[in-house]
Amino acid sequence: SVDTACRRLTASWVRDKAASDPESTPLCEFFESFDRAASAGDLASFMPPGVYTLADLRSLGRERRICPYFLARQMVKYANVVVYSYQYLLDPKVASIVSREMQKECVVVFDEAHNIDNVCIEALSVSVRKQTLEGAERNLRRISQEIDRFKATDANRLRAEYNRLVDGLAQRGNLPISDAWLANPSLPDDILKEAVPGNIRKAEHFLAVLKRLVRFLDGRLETENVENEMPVSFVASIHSQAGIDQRMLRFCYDRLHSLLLTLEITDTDEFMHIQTICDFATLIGTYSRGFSIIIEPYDDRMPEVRDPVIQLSCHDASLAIQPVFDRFQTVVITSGTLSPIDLYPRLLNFNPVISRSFTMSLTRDCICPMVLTRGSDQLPVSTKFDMRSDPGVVRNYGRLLLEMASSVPDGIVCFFVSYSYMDGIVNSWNEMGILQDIMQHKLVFIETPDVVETTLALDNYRKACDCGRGAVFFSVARGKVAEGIDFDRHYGRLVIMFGVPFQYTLSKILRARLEYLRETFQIKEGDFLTFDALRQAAQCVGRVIRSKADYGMMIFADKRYSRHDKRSKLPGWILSHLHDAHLNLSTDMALHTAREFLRRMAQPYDKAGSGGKKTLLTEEDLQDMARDAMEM
Amino acid sequence: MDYRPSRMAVVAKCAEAFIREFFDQNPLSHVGLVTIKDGISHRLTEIGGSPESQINALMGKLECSGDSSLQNALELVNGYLNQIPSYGHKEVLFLYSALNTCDPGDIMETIEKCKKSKVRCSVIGLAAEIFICKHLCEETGGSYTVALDESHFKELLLEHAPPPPAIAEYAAANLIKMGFPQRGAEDLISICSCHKKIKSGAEGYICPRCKVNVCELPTECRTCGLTLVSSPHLARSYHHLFPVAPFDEVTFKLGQKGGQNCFGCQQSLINTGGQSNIHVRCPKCNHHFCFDCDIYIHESLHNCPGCESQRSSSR
Repeated sequence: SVDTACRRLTASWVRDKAASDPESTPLCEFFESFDRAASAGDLASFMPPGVYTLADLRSLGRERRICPYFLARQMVKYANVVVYSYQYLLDPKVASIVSREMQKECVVVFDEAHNIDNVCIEALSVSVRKQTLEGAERNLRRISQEIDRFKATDANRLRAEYNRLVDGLAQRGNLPISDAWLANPSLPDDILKEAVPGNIRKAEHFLAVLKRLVRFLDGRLETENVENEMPVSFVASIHSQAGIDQRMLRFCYDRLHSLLLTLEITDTDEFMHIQTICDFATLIGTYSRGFSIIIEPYDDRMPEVRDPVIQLSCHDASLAIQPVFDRFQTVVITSGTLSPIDLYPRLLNFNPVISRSFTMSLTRDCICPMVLTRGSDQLPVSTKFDMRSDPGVVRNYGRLLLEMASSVPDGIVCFFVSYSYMDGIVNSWNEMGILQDIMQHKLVFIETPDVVETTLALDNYRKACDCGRGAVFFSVARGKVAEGIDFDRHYGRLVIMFGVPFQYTLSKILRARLEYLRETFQIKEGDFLTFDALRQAAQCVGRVIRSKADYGMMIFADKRYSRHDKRSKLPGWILSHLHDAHLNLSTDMALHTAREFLRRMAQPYDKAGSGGKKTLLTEEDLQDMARDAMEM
Repeated sequence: MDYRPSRMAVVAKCAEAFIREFFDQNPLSHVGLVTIKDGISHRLTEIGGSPESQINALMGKLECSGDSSLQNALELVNGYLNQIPSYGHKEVLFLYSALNTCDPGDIMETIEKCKKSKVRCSVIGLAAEIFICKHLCEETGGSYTVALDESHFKELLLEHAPPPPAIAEYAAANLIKMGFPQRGAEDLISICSCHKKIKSGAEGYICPRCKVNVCELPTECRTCGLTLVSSPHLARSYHHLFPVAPFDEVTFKLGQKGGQNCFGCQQSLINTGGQSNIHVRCPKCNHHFCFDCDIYIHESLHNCPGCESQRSSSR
């Protein structure tokens, strides 16, 4: 892989060897020029002031023959604005490498942060499967071979490492930039800065400890029942059965990292398995609250196939984000669908200085949300588990889509609650002949779990909308499309949310998390599940409108949306356009509303709003406003 | 809510009114009708200068069925309009009721072709706004509107009768051969070339080149192909090309010489009672007019009396 190949050319021991023997050791020209510039303090000349995207960096690197990756890593320190993904700040494994030198005075803005609690939880969760354990055993065998080889040829290296550990350095301090690939999985404040315990200082002893740990985990995987344990009891059972105490577990990661560096291992992706095991060990050794270990022998959806997994799942989202709050002076969490807004401070355990919710300033009502609770035959529709396979409900949903496809131009997006539900209902529609009728009006595209297929489908969907043929896109509420893809302008004139996208409520991890939330934060289970479902629904329907001149309709097709406890959790900008006349609609009423809305929205629209109230300010307006504010 | 008795009937009725209004405003123009049915477009009538043949076709039984194909219609229209000489302004007006278009090829190429041959395409939609129609109109410089109901539709349609403003740039300066026929003598009896009926000379016009009898103007002589018009027709088209400049608003200042009476109707412009005395003034001849005369000059007369009454040749 790219990582391995890069490391083979840039690791510190490779470069040392090349200094003495330049013929046989290839080096990376780009990295060498980077290194020369960095040591001369000359990097800034390579990056004149400006705005650089990844593509810009690559072309800069190609032009100036310098490695864009390491250049970017270095220049993060000097940049005024850095845009990157959440993990670089929240996941301890990468944050302590990339974001270590961000100063206190930085302003951190988390955009589209409605899922931030899930990101925080995933950053501290690890899962271990049979393949991981088998891979770990292979890795351990390889490491022991390497150790034997070194003992025969270069025993000094191992001894030097032993001495260093005795001297009390658990971590290796400032490593050269090309040697650090992943960091300690626990939060920086929780890493012990002490000497590594005596019984794992010697490389062979450490390997023996790891072998016992892997065997213990293997034994735990053989269980036939679902088990849910607290980390404390799990650590206790490790101690009693494998003889590894908590302090040893805590140092697993550091010791492994040091060992791999000493043995000059370059193909790090081969060793990901043992790294996962060590991450797991370090985390259970460090944290006792807010985590639980769940062992599942079978996947609930396929009870015959045995697929055991040990999951260390974090339940407390505030753990990962606490260092960010402590370190930076200003942190802003913002999103278009952050509702209800008072739940987030409770989940992330912080006191907001300002908590504000803004509405959209529009000159015309460019969104038309509707809550549809029944079909034309007045039967209620829902994706509630007991109503899902009712043929009347399926037919009503099908007719809703058919009527809308014949009255709405260009693109329509439909969101379903899960892949299995989408498969089932599309099959039923095919049998009833509804799918063929829909295809008379518009082409149909569908999202699949495969990324390449979905990208192709999306591409063709856009082509169909552009050339006037019109298309419908079937997608899933928690899939890739719902998270990232925009359907603005004619690509999304209507979005239909079929049902309420609850999470899979029988999942053990979810149950454990709900219990933790109830005990620690007093958040009721039903409230949390509803909040999670509705933020997902709001995120899905928010894809259709991206500017003031844009317009789109949203249909929430489930009878449960008319209940106040669900409806009130929708974000303010949707609720402000959800008139009482658009609640509790049936298919024909929704059709009538849709037709009228489309005709109205097709009339010419003055973007700057020069008629009545202004919504697009010019520079003179801003200066006037500033002058008024100063005079007051 | 939707059009009664049927969309086709309403559209046909409004189209008839449009054709009459169109020929009233543009007597020198030609109109042809095309329908799109089952994905294929058919030519309903030839491009001609007489309103009667177009209206007769509209009154006939018009059916609609199947998909609509914008690309096929554009190709057909492009083919016909390519035969028009370059001094003519080419336009297409789509009365579009479908919500999509089912095309055999790449419609973007066809739009490029239309753009290159300078065909101005406009669309009036009956249902909702479609992206491809908007794109078509933006590319070719036309206008895209969607009708809210029947009366709005008629209004939008009649707005297309006067020619679009930016017309002067397209026309190359060419000499166009036209004939100005006279009425024949009373006792001259001949067969008219359009209906093949015996007519007296006084009921028709005599083509100046080939001397055949034609019934009505403007028309194209069937024998020699000369365009036959009368001078009032030309005058009516002329004002679209050279419209009267909009007048400036001025207020009456005390001590101002002249400008106390409207130049058009001679009514006093000074309003007793001290209300604000706003009236208008022509920027070219500097004569003052009241608001009523302003409306009359711009909408009906199409000539400013002040400019016309000046004898100076520099204008």
